[in-house]
Order: sequence, then structure tokens, then C-alpha cells
Amino acid sequence: MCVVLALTLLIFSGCAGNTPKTQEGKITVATSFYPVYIFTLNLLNGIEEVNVECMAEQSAGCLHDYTLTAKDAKLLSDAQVLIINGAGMESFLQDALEGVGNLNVIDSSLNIELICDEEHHHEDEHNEHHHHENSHIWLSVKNAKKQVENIKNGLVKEFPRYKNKIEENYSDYIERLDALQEEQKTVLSGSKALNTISFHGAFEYLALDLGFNISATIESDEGYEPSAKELASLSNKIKNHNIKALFIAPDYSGSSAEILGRETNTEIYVLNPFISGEEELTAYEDIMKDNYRIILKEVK
Amino acid sequence: MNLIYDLLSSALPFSWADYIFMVNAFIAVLLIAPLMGILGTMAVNNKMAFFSDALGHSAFTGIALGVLLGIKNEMISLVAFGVFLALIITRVKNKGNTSSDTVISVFSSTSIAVGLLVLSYGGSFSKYSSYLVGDILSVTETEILSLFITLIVVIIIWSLIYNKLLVISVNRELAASRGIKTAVYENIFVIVVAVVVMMSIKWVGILLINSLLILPAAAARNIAKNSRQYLLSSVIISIVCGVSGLLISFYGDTSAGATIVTVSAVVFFTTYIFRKNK
Repeated sequence: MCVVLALTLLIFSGCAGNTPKTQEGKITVATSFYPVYIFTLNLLNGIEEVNVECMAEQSAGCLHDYTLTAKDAKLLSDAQVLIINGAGMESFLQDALEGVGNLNVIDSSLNIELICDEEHHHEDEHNEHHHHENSHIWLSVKNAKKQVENIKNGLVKEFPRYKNKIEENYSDYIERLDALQEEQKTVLSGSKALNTISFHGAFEYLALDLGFNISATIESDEGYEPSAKELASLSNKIKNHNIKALFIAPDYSGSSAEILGRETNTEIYVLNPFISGEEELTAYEDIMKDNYRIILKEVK
Repeated sequence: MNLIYDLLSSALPFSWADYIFMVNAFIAVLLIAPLMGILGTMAVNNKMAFFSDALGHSAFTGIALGVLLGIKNEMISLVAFGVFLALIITRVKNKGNTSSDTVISVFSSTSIAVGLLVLSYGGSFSKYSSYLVGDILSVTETEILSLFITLIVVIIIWSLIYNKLLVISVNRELAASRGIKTAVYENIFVIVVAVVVMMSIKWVGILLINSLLILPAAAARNIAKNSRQYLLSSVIISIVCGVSGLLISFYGDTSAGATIVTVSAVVFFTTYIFRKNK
């Protein structure tokens, strides 16, 4: 592994011009993927000397099956600090990080309580229960605020000379996230309870914030597809538990949501798990507001 | 269609028939199995097991082409590329003096690599991984209809060209000397195989499609005494394995495609032993 990595680094160090984004003389801050990328962009906004880069392409989605590309390996060797989501999301980085010695890693999931998926993971009791921690923490605004704080603390430690600017950006961003949280409360006050089935692990944290009930989660983003027997039991569950909505992510590629929708005449809603999107500072707020709007349609 | 569902669920007093997706999968198996059973006999006769395997693998590039060209319905690019590749392989195989397994292997590995290269661009292949093992449970009514039409068309073509294909498979030179245009019939055959393989790949999967084509025919060859029996038992074995595999997978909580293939393999080995003891 190390030999391969070293070789790729060797080959790619010869053609640094291929990645125009990494500018000469600038400090590079690497982020693992979209949510932490947007959070970090907000915190380092306006600091010209620092260049924020994102490893996984925006199309990559969740990182469960992601593998390191040569471009990523180069970024890791160029970067001064790496910001990760943490909580087990970046399993693909484990080997790679051993290869690059002096890279500081900021874990944004510090002190965030994780949802354990044990009871949700598989439908059938004959299946073995994985004790499985859900790492999609950012879809709860409360957690997102904590993540932004963790990243801020790490960045201030790493770049003491930009402390003031980072703190200033931080309080601006937190103010906006507070406003988002307020909007969430007013929008959803007085809404009725909603029973759902989710096809992406991230929605469990959204449910935590919004108070809807997820009867089962099919972790399709981890390549999990229910068998015929499980589909049958899920479809019984939908009928018996008055489940009104199936939540899928835009990149959902499985077939079980459609099968269950057809089988039980249940509406399928597309929510955004915020794992890919535009490179905009307000991306998190925009996407969350869209999600609230979609859920609101069902609960009101 | 609703009539068929009502009929089936009253005719089949089993718990699986209560679910539309199972009834759909059941009908799809009843359509795909005979297709595979029919085509498999000739593929086995002509020693084309590796050829059809390569065809299945080329589905990667078919899907990738669809993505690149922005074709909404991936079936179009799949079938088009499958037919193209089948004709190319046949042509190169007949022209050159490279042995056919090398030719097929070259095309097979190239189409896997190109397909993977395009589909995994940006690091995400998981979107397409469902094509690897397929998902018979996701088949819809319209897709069942297109499978039904395919079955009818294949049966018509088959009844027209079967005898000539049989002569070619027994002895190519003999067939040519009798004025049969061997290349034409061979091409028709590979086109039909390509279309059927690509039509079914979404439900059977790239990794399993070839077993469905080859195993029933190979099992039938073990026990059949003449070509009529061969064709008939291949179709019957295919249907029996398909249906029982699907139902076992429902009650046993296993993957449908893998169960069907495992049942077919058991039947193959049983017939193999039976033949040995004959």
C-alpha cells in the first residue's frame, strides 16, 4: 500500500500543473467531503492566503465505498491540515494517513452524540444485529453547529495569526445556523406526527431535529438492499404502522423504495442528505430549508 | 394486468403471491427462463459459453455509453452496444487466426475496463453496482410486457432459423456446401443472444446472466437423447429452476438471482451423475 502510494505521489508530483486550484505559496487546507468542505469554506472565508480543497468529488456522495484517487493522495501531501467529518465516515483514509506523517487532522465529530442504528439496521430479527454508529451527523442543525465549532477550534489552533478573522466568520455563521434552527421550529410547530421509512442513514439525524418518526432505515448508501422476505415484512409494516412517506436521497439507486411505493401506494419523497452540491457558502442553509419544505408538505 | 394479479393470487394460495413485486418477479422469471433455455442450447452446442459471458460483462460499457451520451433509457445503449460487440467478436473471430477464446477475452476485458473507467469517474461506482447481481424484484409491468414481446419475437426467429443453425453447429463446412449462408445465420444468432442478454441483465445481473444461459442447456445436454428433447428439457429445466429459485429465495431470505443459479447448478450436477451412471 505504502509503495503504491509513494509511487503515485512520485508520478503525480511531476505534473503539479494538472491541478490549477492548488496555487503556489498558499497554505492548503484539505477537507474530506462536501459538508465539512462547506463548513470550512465559511470559517476561512476572506482569508486570501488559505486555500480550501475538497478531496472526494462532489458526485461521490457518501464515502462508504470511496477509494482514494491519486489526486487525493497529492492533496494530502500538499495540505497542512485535514478536516474530516469523523465518527467513522472516512474509513477510506485510514491507510492513506499512515503514509503522510505530519498532517494535522481536525475531527469535527468531537463530543457529538451518535445515533446507534442497532434496532433500525435490519428489519428481520434473524439477521445479526450490527452495533453500528450512524456517522451522518451533519443533518441535524444542532450537530452542524457543534461541528462548525470543532472545526473553528482546530483552525484557530492551527492558524493563530488568522484567529480574529476566523472567530468573526464563526460568529457570523453560527448566527445564520441559529436562524435556521429558529425557522425549523416555527415551520414545524403544530405539525402532526409523521411515520416514515428512510433509505439513507443521514435522515435519522434530520428526524432527530424535526421530530418525525423513522420506523425503519434501509442504508442503501452503504450498498444494502433488502431481500424479498424483508421487502414483504417492510410492506406489511407500512400498511400496519400507518407509514405515510418514504424518504430517499437524490442519488438513491436501489429499487426497494420504488417496489415498496408501488406495493403500498406510499409516496416517495426526495430529501437532500447534503453530501454533494454547489460550492456556495449558504449551501447548508439552502438545502436544509428545501428539506423542511418537502417534509412540511406531508405533515401539514 | 390487474386481472392477472387477481387470477394469480387466487390461483396461488401462498403468502408470496400477496405481494405485487413477487408476482411481477414470478411472471418475469416465466418469460426470461424459456428465453435462456432456448438460446442456451445453441450457445452450448457452438461452444459459445465464454462468448455470452463476455457479452454480459460488456454491459458495463453499454451503461457507460448511455451515461456519456445522456441517454435516459439505458436499455437502448445496452442493447445497441451488446449487438455491436457481438457482431465485432464474431467478425474478428472468423477473419483472423487468433484463437477465439483470446479474441473474446480481449473484448471482454476491454469492455469491462472501459465501462468501469467511465462509471467510476469521480470515485463513485456504487450507483451501478446493482447491475452486478441484478434485481428481479424491481421488474415493472411495462418491462414485463417488453420481455413478453421479446420472447414472442425470439420464438418466431427461432422457428425460422433453428434447422439451419443446427446444421451449422454440427458441421460448418457441410452447411456451407449445402448453400447455407453460415455467416448470416451466425450473425442473426449472436444478435438475438445479445438482445436477450442485455434485456435481462438488469434483473439477473452481469455476474449471473451467463449461468442462466449455460447451466440449463448444459444440464439438458446431459440427459437428452436427441435435439428435440435437448431443446425441450433445456426450457423445462430453466423454468423449473427459475421458479423454484425465486420461491426459495423468498422463504429463505436469500438473493433471488444467486438462488436461481445455485438451483440450476444442483440440477446440472444431478444430471451429470445421472449421465455417468447410464
